[in-house]
Amino acid sequence: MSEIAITARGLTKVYGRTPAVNKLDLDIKAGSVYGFLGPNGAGKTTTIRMLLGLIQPTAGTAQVLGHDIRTEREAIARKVAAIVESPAFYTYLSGIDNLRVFARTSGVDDSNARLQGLLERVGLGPRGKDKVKTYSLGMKQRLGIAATLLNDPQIIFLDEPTNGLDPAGTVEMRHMIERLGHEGRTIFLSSHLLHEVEQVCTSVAIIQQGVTIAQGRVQDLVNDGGGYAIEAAPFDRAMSVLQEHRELNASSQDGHWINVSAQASDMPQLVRALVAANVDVYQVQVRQRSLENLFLELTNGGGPANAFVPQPLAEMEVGQ
Amino acid sequence: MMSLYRAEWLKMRKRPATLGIVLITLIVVVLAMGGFTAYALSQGVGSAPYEAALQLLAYPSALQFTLSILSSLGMLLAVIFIANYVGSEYSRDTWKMILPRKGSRQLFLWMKIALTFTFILVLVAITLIVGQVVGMLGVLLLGGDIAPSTSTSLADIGKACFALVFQMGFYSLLALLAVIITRSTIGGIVIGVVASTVLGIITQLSTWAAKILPNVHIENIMLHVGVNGGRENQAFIDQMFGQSISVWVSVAVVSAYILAFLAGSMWIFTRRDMAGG
Repeated sequence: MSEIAITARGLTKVYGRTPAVNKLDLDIKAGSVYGFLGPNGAGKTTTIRMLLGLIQPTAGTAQVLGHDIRTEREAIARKVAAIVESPAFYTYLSGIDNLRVFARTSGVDDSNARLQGLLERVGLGPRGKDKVKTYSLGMKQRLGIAATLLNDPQIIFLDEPTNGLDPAGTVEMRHMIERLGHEGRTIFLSSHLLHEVEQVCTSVAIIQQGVTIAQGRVQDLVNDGGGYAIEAAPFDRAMSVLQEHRELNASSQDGHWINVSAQASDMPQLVRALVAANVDVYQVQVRQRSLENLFLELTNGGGPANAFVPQPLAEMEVGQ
Repeated sequence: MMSLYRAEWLKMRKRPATLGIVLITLIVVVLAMGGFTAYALSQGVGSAPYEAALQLLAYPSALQFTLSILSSLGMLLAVIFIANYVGSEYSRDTWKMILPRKGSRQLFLWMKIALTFTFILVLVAITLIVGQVVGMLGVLLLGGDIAPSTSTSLADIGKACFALVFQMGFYSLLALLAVIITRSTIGGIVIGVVASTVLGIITQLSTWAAKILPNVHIENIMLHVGVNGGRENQAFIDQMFGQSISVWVSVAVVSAYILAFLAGSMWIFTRRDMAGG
């Protein structure tokens, strides 16, 4: 397996005069569970469709497992599998017959034993012979996962796999994704459910209006720019001491906690300065953002790009 | 490639629409044969309808009669079948589930065409068998000979079968192109049927239109193999053309259209974005 599973440089798709994906850059390591986040209409599904060869890029390049998406579709097809948006099936066929169609289309083993084994694996064993039109959405999602495993792919694209699932189904899907990740496959997970993504993904990219606005390891992204929250009294004197250091961007949303953008190495000196100014320091806490906070900050709550508005402390998780 | 054919076969064989088309065709044939028998019985032994029925329902004339019925339904059957078969991949958005599994989109379309051809052959074979069996039962009810000596040979039947498959192939590929352009089952059926009607009207406007467009050429082929009429119809066809045109010229013209529809379908299908249903 190559080191990098997916790369994209300047990947662009324009419909008419509207760019759905605009000069997108991606670097996805093999074996990672990669979260692909963005508000509705950000270009997530368009990107997945381009990587799968369902639509042609207008400009830019991309490689999947080292193969060019424009010219080496045959090689890519053997190594990847996908659920794009909601899984679609031949509803007049049974679950096992749908898998048989996909197996034959891929040119892989379509024996009953193998297909039944896959159905068992996703918890559909007893319902395999029922027609898909009788399946619930959760069952269709699980059948979709079984279909992705037919060709033992190195990369699995999952586009909003928890859409429409109830909480139990969502947890079940999360566990399934975790298991797939533990098998060493690269999982490309597009989702709105940031909490779910934070729990299963090792890396993420956040896109908005077709542009990558953040990319990296989840831990690095949520820590970056988190800073500290200081509880001190009197508040006004503490604030004026901290505002003398303009690089700290001292601010408060609630007139109680003061947020500063500082490194750990800066904190002893800051506390000494506060104490020297007769300020009582009660607490200093690491201000770590959740992925959700980060997402909302970067995308302005899913609104227009380039309109960065910092979130108030009250909406941030404060922890040690 | 064989496994892809088997995948398409499984889908096609179990489609409710496939079964529906076969059943409707068989019902029409059985009703036609049964109605003919009942009418002959009601008119009594020795009547003209009685004698005609004895001749028409016996072997192998019933095969030719069945082919005539199929020929009348052929355009509609072919259009509805392929529009449904290919169009549902768009309407159910299942292309996205299968296209990423193979590198070549062309291969999928070739398989769809191969399966349509298979379906037409199977439909014609089943209908002929059922038509002949019902015809023989009719003859037995009328008290006649089920296989009297006749001038119709099996070679004639074979030619007529070939012409019927050719006709259905033409309309299938016309509808395929319409489905791929409109990305819809309904679009394929409507354009397939309307195009055929519009072409029929245009061909009546001038002999040049009749020569250039495929409709009258298809009629010419069907007449040549003894389906859909006799000499009087041949005179009508010649009048449409403004001259007598050889069946081979007609075969060449219709083949050119078939190739054009095929090339157009392939060109659009391989280049167009598959952006969801």
